[in-house]
Amino acid sequence: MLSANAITFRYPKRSTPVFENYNLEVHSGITLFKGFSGCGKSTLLRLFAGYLQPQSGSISIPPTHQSPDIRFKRERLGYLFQKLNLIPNLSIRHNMMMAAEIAALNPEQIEANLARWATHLHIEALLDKSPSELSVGQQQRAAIARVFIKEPEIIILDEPTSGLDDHNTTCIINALNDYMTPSRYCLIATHDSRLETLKHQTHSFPSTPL
Amino acid sequence: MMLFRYLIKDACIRAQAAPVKTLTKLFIAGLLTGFSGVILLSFHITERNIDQRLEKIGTDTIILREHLDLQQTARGLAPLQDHLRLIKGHAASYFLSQAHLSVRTATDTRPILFAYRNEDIRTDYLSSDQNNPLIYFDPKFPPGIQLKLEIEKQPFIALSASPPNWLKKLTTEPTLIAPDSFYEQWPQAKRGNYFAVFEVNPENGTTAQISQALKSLKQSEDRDGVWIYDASQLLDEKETLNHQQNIWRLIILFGFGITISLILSSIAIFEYRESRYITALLKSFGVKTIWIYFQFITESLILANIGLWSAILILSKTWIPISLSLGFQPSLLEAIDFTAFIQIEGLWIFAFIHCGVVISSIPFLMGARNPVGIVLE
Repeated sequence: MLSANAITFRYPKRSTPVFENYNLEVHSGITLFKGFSGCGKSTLLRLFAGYLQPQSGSISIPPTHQSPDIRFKRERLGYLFQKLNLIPNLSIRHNMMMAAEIAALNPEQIEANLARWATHLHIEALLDKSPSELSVGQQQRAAIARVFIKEPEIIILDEPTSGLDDHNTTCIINALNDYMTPSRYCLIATHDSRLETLKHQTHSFPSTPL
Repeated sequence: MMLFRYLIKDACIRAQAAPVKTLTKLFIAGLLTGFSGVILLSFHITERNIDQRLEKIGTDTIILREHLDLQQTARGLAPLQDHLRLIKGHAASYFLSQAHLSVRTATDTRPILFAYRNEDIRTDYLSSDQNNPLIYFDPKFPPGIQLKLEIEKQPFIALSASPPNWLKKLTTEPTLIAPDSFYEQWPQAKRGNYFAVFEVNPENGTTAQISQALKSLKQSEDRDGVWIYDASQLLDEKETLNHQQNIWRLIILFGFGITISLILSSIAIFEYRESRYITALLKSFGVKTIWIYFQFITESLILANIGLWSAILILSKTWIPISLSLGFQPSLLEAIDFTAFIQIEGLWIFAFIHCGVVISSIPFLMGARNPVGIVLE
């Protein structure tokens, strides 16, 4: 179980905390985080990833209930940022391979996973292109492929389908369905009702800031 | 491996996208290396020059030169060396005066003409032949040869000899010496420059004591034209030079180090946004900050070292013309071992370049401290 334990978080130079003494438990499977813009969905995902540190309280990750550390980020976490953040100087293939190599996958695994997720997300023909040569939908699929290639236990997707057409969204939903196993976690911050077709739990943020 | 390849590729792409920044890193290191190399080399050559003069004069020798002008001679002022014959017991002393006559040897050399009193210089090699008393000293001419020459267009024969040590301390130019009586045939010949060489016997006092006594005599007789030269001056000169050298070493280490760090830091600040983004992105994958810093510092060190070693290579090929243009004598440069110089003084340059590069990484480190979740959206 992934949990936030009495966390308080405030962005630097802001007086109001985003979370104050906040508790949440997330079970394996897909969890959709819903709420109005600015309610703290993305912040919570970044706290779970260890990309932000709470001022008090803790985040604990399964199975040892430790806080997210560098090894967790390298081997067990896949994160999709809203702005995708594909590395502009590298081709899609090399973007994916770098994530897998940092996660210490062996070359055979990397080749197999690259082929698998490129096929699932229909980006085989785009592998040797640079991110700037792709459309937004293609970049989105490529960024998700980069998350999947290292086959992490926990994936966190921040608005993975925002602005995408139905074809691209369906493609991502299918890939997610294929990816998920009972032991894996998938946290998705979204406004997109099309993702409701996924078998999921929902966590709704209150209509006022926490 | 992919990360390493990416980091190299990233550096190359940045160099292509903004070559001015890369070239600035390269040239600033090269330029400061070259500049500091020339400064330190000048000190090194000057120090070598003093060492050579010290070796030549020795620590036991005092040289005195006096110029008496026509007015002083007309007033009946006798050369100081007339008094100095009194201290003969304290030092082996040699007295010469320069005779201004036109002289040319068969080998077309124009030696300096010196006159001596018979009682002043008694050595075996001086000629006792009153008809042919001329001795020609030239370090580059074989001894024991009769050399034809003309003085005031009159033919003479001189016997060549190896210059004695005391004379070599006075001059290494070709010289012709003869007793005072020889010059009586040219009553119009001007005298005016008088020389004395003292080789101090340590049993009778130190060089410094005798030198001080001579200086006191010079002062008490108010002789402006007297110039006293001994090793103590050279040692003082060397001490002053070493002091200045140390100051310049510190200026090079700190001043140039700060200069290079400021320039490289400015470039790092320009690249701050970009490097902050890439650093955060790599950190989000679980790459340790230390690896990203290692890439940054390695890139800067490689560029700085290319600049540094290029400048040293250029300096090793051009230090002779540079030194000549700075006014150093070619004979002095023959004694300089550039490799030995750069092995010692190059350490200062190496230190300031590397300190500068390390200091210039501060903006990067500040950027790398930002949490991933703040930088990446």
